[in-house]
Amino acid sequence: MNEFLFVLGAGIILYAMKAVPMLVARLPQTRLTTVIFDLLPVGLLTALLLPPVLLGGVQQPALEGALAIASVVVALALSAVTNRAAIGIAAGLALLAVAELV
Amino acid sequence: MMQDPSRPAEKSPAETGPFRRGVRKTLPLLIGTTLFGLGTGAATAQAPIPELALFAMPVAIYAGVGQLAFAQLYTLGTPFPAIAVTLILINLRYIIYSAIASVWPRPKSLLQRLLGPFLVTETSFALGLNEPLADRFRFLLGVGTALWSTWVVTCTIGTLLSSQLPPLKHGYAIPAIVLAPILMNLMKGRQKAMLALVAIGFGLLLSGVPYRLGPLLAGLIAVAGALLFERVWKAWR
Repeated sequence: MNEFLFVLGAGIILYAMKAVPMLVARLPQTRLTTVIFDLLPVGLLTALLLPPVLLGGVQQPALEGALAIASVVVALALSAVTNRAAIGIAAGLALLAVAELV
Repeated sequence: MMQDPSRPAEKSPAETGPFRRGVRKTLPLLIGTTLFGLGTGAATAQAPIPELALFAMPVAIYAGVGQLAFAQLYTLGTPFPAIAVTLILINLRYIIYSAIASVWPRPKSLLQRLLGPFLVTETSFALGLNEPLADRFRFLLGVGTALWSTWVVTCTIGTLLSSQLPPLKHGYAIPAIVLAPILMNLMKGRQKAMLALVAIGFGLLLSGVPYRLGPLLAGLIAVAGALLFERVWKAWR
């Protein structure tokens, strides 16, 4: 029972972290904040998603690591060229499956 | 050409509601969510957590890394306050996403307004950025509902089949592949492409920072650098 309450408590904390700024906070709408809010998602998401791929790939055996990194590069490139999310994701995951099987 | 009257006319994106559009745009991403959910469910099942709490985790703690951290720390016998502080630190980025989303017009329904923050993740937030401002909140609800329901189902299956699922060697690449189309959309333009490169560089440099604070710091440093560079560039010209 204690563990269930811990999980519930953790969920409430996570919810509060999102709900308070989203529903209660009133951020100033200036030119600077508009620019910052435009740039922050790019900075945060790239820093969050891409370095772990490079670091993880480098730590693997050469071929596997190269294939894992290539799967992300292919997903990015095909998404940009075709403008269709499904194609980039499917190709990236297919290449990653090859890396898993090597 | 005559249209088949037995088939309903296909609606253009502008005609479908933001919620349904959100669900539809999430469909290609669900492959990655499924893989990640199965992996997370299988990984958390290794922790000595009672079943009730284990199955409640994906429902309540809607954050993959958060679930894994909770399971690891619980296994080590870490007291709850320390687990809570760790969860806050590794999920600080959600405060930024939610603060940015606070300027999105909210729906009238109280239930929808309360549900919105729960469904904020990298994917729902980033996909929402490509929508017209007025539609973003309901679009986020559509994306979030599709992702969360898939997450809960796949985590549960992963937990149940934990002993039969092979561990993924390259699971670290799945989030980047799934979010690749969104990243490419966000990185349009020279300034944002440069910003992304700087963020990756600092992300690599700061990867050893504890509590997964490295990416957060790297993103903030890259944005501060971009703003400073813009100022210096304008002054110099």
